[in-house]
Amino acid sequence: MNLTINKLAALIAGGFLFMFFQLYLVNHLILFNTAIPFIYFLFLFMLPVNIPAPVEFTIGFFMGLLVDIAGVSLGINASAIIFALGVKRLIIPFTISSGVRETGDLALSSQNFFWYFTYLLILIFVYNTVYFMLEAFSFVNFGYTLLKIVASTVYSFFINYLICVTFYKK
Amino acid sequence: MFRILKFLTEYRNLVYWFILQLICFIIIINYNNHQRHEVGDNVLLLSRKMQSGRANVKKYFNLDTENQILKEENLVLHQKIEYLKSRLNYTEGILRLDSNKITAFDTSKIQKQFYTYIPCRAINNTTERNYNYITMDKGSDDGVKVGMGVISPRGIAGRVIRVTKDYSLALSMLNLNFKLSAKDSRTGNVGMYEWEGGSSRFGYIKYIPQEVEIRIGDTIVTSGYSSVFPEGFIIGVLSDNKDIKGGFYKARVALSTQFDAIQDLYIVEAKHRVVVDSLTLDLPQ
Repeated sequence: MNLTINKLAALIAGGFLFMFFQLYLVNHLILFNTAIPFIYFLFLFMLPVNIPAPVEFTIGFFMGLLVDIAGVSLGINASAIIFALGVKRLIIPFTISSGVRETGDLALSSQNFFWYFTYLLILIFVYNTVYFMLEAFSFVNFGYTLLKIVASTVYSFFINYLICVTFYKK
Repeated sequence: MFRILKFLTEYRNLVYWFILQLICFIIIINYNNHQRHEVGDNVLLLSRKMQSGRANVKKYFNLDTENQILKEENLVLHQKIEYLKSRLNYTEGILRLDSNKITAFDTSKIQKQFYTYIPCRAINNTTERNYNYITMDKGSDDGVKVGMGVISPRGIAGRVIRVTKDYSLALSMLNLNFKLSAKDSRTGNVGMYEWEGGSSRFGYIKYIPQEVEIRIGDTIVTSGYSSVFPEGFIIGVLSDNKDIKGGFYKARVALSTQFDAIQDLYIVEAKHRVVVDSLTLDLPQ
């Protein structure tokens, strides 16, 4: 792992920024009581790929728990983010290019457009599926749960993709 | 042991991921009312279903015995019909002799039905403990109330102590707390039925005065004093020689209900019980 002090500081600052915007801005941007946006997970999805998994899981756990505490659903975000990070760990090794594998950096130009599109879509979809299934905790009214999952996935994906394009340039 | 350690180190990321998910799940269930209730409801439903299913299987395998008991019950009922027919003929004969008595007869009182019966099924039953209970699949929705008697086709079985919407729980006769006023059907002397633990086939009748002669083979029936059970329902048969203690008999009774094969039951509703019980309220002790 070749993280310099500067990079590490930038990462930590980025994490705090994401949490700040998640808690004070994005949490209030819920659409029609159905589509709930999240941005804090983009920080975790875009972490350098050579960070050890336990470290990533631990950071994710505490970030999710913090979002939970700010909301009303203790443990649901944490569970969903850990699940999504597990999926991330599954798909990363098979899909990244050798350049990314050396530097560990997932900046935007290191992979092609299609990869980012599917990568974010899959992870956001997994996250929202786990989140809303845990929130409902039953298959009663499953249609509404499904609507929430799809609407939130599209909404979150849109916001996150914009952030990605704006801030994750090389 | 070494292999387990090797597995844990090899898949440490997966194990850690799993532990974190488990922690999340515990947090979710402990701190969110909705999720906790969903889990609780499903566990409860599952255990109810398992109890019902077990009862169904048991019922299927007990069909033979059940059939036998029904036949016996049928026989007894036939005998009763014959007996009642003869009594009816006799009474009609007397009435015909003395036609004045017809007007003196208050027919409304004869037709008053004191007891009704709610058929039900035992879905759980123990016999091996000191305090045994029977769970039944009828509850307050079907009219079951606390204090009603429970009988099996062969004899007395217990008394209802708890009622929910769909289920009820009865104190089995095989319970150290169960007491019932009983009498020797031959002499008519009243004593007290009690159980002292141990075998599910025997109970005891106590407090019958020493002066009365009771014999092995005497039938022990309900006295009807408690107004929980009708008078004359069979409890069992005197099976053993009696002890005399302090001027009273204590004798062993072979119970007529087979508690290890309990299935179809009837809950006895005594319609006059509230009225009768209210008579004894506020008496000077």
